[in-house]
Amino acid sequence: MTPNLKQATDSIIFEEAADWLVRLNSGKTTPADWDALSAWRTQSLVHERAWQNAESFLGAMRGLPADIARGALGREQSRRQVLVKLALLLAAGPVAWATYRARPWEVLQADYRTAAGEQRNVELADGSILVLNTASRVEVAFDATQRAIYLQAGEILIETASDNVSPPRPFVVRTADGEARPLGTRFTVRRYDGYSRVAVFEGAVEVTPAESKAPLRLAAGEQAGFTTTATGPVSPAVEVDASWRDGMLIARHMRLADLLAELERYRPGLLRCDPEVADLRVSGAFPVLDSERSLALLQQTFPIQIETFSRYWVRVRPRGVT
Amino acid sequence: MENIVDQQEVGELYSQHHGWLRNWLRGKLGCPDTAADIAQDTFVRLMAGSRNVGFDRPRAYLTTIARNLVVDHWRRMELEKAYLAAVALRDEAEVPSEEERLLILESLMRIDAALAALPKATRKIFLLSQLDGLTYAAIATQLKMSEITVKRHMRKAFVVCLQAQ
Repeated sequence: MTPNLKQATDSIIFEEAADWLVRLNSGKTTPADWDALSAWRTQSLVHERAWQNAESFLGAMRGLPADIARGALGREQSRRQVLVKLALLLAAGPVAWATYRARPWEVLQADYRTAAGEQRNVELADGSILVLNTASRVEVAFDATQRAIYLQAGEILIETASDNVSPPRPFVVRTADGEARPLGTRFTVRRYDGYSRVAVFEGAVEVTPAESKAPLRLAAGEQAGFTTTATGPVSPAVEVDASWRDGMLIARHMRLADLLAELERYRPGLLRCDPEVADLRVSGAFPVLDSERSLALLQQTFPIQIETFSRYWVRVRPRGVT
Repeated sequence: MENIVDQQEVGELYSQHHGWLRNWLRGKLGCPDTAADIAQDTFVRLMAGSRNVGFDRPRAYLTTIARNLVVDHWRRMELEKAYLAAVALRDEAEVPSEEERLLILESLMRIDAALAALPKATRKIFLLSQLDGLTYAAIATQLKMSEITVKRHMRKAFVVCLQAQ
């Protein structure tokens, strides 16, 4: 098998293993299912190892005492607990935070920015959580009439809280392309070149392009792009689209070139690949804050080699090229 | 690609930033001992890490590592609390030995960390299947969704299992 075909096959094996796991955990399997699995496993060492990896993990779960496992793994995390924890991870200094917590109705102007590879959590004066992804810039402008956030570059995740002043002020996120008004929600906004995109995970968001009067309402599980003049088609938003929030990029059948473009956002400089490997399909979970490890993972799985010309220029090439 | 960071470089970073990091953590955690432990662990991780990332902004990089360690620390605290709550309901004779306790917690940490990547609904469905042994049909009925949706969630969860260390 040529290297390219082999690596495409490994990706397929991964996908097939996931399908087998779904099939064999339904609770309604037959001996024929197990025979079919056996046949699949014995095809190659890669097949067998994929299955064993999963079995090792699932076996560890089943080996736990049931009451302990349920209590520990199934624990509910209350929203208040999450907010308290995020507050503890604040990047702003403790004195500044205490000041605007005490007097939220005063005009609050603050700029936050992150460098490539950095993420930052900010708790806003009303208790809302703002998370900045890599290479992002926002201006927070809370005043007497509204709670406004201007996204100048990059990507943010917002979890809104109801206002702690009376009457409550509307919350709005603006980009150069228009605005997004959330209605008690959890959503991301990302600024690209010439358009913005909003993805909603809980609640609903109303998106209005800067030069249009027609708002588009997005519900949980939906996302759409918008320019200054129009909104784009609505497509599904899945929680994994915000998995950067936990530091992971989940790839499913993603082109290697597209994956590298995503990882490039989290580091200074360029990360590019040669056209021969650009269309390799990748599935898996990649740590975005540790792109070196992601590259190492890719190099393990695919016939590629990583050439580092400098810290600011990394090139991914087919293996064996000199 | 050389992976191990230069010892001397780490030594310099330590003398320049360790005190600062420990104070930063103390302000976040309220517990000076934990802050000291995590500050130390941050540099241990740094030594095992890759040399190309973040050394032009060492504090940002250090706080990123430290934040991940803090999240692990909280995860461990929550799991230990949940463990104690479950064991409290058992008979005296059923309480696991200290050695068993450590093994169980180690397993829980590994599994919980992997499942943390899953959204709430997917995790719930996955646990109903794996811990409670429900069939997909039963889960679908209980949560008022289609069996196809249940399978979709299960597949997402199994992808995570295949990736887990």
